[in-house]
Amino acid sequence: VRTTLTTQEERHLAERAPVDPTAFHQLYQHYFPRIYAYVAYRVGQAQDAEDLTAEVFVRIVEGLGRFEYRGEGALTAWIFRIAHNQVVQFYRRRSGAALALSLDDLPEIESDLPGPDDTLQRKERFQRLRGLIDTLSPRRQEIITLRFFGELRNHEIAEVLELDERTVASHLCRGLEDLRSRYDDETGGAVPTGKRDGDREQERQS
Amino acid sequence: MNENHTHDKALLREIERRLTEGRPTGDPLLDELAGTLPRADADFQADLEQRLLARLDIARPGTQEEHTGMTANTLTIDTPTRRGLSSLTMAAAVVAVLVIVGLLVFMTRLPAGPEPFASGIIGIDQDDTTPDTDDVTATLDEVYLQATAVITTATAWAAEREDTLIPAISGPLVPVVITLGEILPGQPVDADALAVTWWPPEILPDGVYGDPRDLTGLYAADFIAAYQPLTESRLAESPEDIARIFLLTPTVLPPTVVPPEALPVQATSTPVSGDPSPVRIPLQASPLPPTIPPSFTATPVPTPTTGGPSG
Repeated sequence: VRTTLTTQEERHLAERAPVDPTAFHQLYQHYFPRIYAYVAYRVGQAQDAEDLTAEVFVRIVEGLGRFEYRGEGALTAWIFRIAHNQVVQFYRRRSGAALALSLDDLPEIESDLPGPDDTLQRKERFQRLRGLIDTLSPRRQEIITLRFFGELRNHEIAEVLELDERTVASHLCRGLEDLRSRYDDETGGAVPTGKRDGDREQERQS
Repeated sequence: MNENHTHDKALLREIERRLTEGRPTGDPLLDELAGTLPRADADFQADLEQRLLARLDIARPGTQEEHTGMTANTLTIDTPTRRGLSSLTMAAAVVAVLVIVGLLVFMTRLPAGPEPFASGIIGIDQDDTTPDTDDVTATLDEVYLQATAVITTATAWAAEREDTLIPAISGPLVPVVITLGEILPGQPVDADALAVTWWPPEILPDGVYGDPRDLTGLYAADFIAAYQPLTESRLAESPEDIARIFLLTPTVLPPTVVPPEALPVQATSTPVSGDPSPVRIPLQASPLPPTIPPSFTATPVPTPTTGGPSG
């Protein structure tokens, strides 16, 4: 079960973390797994994910003293905006070239799915899901990874990406439908290709 | 459109439930997405947190926040930096400039008449009332030299004064527990009489304590003067341990002094002459040996088990 912070808790962490190591520890424990999972899905390789996560937190530490809390979700949105920017810079440095990753390069995967599941299977599943997400438009990739792995709510994603909340919800639903059709395709289900093209058109318009 | 909207709302609710409750929904895609989470190496996570906490300290110059757990107790003081000239140096410079300007103005008025030279204050012969060029040049040189001396003196004074205002210590400091009052041997350490100070690591004695709570229940094994750091070697866990320390000390005692066989010392022995120390360890001097070989090495005296003087 994923934990959420109340507005008071979030405000407390935002105000105390720069001066109180205990508050910083709480902030770190709360956000580290989410940042790492989000970054790992975006970059794939465990080493890159660690490097980027470290960069994100260094920037958080550097900026915490100047951060002003401005209401519910502000801290989360600020932290994930840093993470999002780091990912964007990462791909800019790499010029968008995708690397073929071996399973050894992938991060360890935690799973709460029922049934037998070994490390190798989890890594393969992670790689397959990444591959599916990579087929989406960059915006939908971003929204789905922020929602599922960064565990952000729609209004927080909207703030990170500077979008309207309804636009985020729409992208999320369309992206999932798109993903589902590819997922069914891989697992042997029927693929409504016409709908996929229609989705792309709608996405371009939005 | 309306149907699509309803479908979206249902899907969003399903996502929310899957993420917050952590239970599989039966939708394989949602379950795989929500249930396949990359997990960082635990060592990496812990190391990064330590590095960030250290960085947080650097970002907070002058703070005295203590870290808990595995984090090092460190204090960082801003390294004093001189940004431009201080007010003292500036004042000295202004005074010096005023002196120079005043003298120069004075010198420009020299040719106005012979009177200023009559007193001979600037090196002109009394009988020669017309200042020649060499005399004026020499006088100007003298003025410049005097002005330079004034500036040098003023700057040196200001710089010296400035140094006394800048903290001599900079860099990371570590907490050191000291005692506010003297502690006699055998006395328990009083937590209320302790204080934490911050020392540069390079001058730390061995075995200092950083947290007064670590000293709870310990006894002074030695006389500890006020404002001295408490170290492991000067403390014991019980009065009996203090007696044991004394029993082992013959390795450092002069060979003519041996501990008596009356040990262990009773912790409730009567204080002598108002001395509040509950433990007193009398020492006996044995007769001097006729000769002490130069290569003499003292050896520990075995712990006496029954009565009878040792040695």
